[in-house]
Amino acid sequence: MNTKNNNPKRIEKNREEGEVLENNSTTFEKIQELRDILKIMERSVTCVSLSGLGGIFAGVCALVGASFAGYWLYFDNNVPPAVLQHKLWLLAAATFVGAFLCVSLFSYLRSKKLQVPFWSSVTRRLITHIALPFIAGSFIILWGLNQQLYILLLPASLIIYGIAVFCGSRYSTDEARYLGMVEMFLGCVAIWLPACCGLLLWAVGFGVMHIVYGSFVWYRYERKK
Amino acid sequence: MEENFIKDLDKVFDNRLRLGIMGVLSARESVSFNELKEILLHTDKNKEITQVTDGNLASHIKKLEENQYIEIKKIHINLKSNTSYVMTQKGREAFKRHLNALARIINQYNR
Repeated sequence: MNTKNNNPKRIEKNREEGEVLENNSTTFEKIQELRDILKIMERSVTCVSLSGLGGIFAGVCALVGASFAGYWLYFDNNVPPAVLQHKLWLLAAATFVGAFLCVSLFSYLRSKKLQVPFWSSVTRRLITHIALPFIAGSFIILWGLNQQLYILLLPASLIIYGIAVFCGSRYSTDEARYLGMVEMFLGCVAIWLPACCGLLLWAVGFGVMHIVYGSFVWYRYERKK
Repeated sequence: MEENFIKDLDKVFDNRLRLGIMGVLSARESVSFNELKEILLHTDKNKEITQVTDGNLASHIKKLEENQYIEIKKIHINLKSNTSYVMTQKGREAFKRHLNALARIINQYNR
């Protein structure tokens, strides 16, 4: 009588080993299962349609805007101040709208490509988390403009935008969080520098950093492998 | 050398949709029925996990609830009741155990 094999523990072990062997062929399935779960967890908290290309083009918009502003302010001395102010307002609005449209367009295209809804619950959360600090912060800027503290505009917009991006990065990638931190840092530096350096830092923050951010995101998530 | 972690796999999570629900809840504090459906539906474009329908989802939620892995959280906003789901501590531990077991099974055959 083979007591060894009748040992309940032994039988249990054999049965389990059998299952394990059977499972060997389905290890691939398990890998797929784990991969699906990670994907679901990622999709639950990340707005995947936010496109790196949108970031790059938004950065280009900012650079173009900053160059025009720099030229009008420091090289083109024939414009009367009242006209200059109007031109700068229009320029600022155009830059903002242009960048916004770029990000929206490329994110919309990306959502179509990934076949995910553009206006999803995660997108809504992302926008709320960016918009709230942005709107609250813009009141500081409005107050500053009202008090004719024009020098406040550039550093404050960098810091406020940095905070907004940092908040929103909860529903986006790590890159967005770093972008937020860098913008805040540049804003803090810009406070202590003269206005022309402020414009330069603004161009670096909104232009160059967006292009860098967009390239990283594109390279990491969107590039065809 | 052959260890096995099959016994650590949770029978409740045999169903992919149930595992998916737990995945969403593990990443988010609380999720409403519609959000849950939206996320699962669009992660599962090729219908690999399972058919995500209202009835299907509701029955799997019920099953998870019976096992006390998730809880219903009702919030009343202006007389309109808003139902959302949260993971319990028990559910969190079970989910973690299951994922660990999955990872170990995979590692075993990668050696």
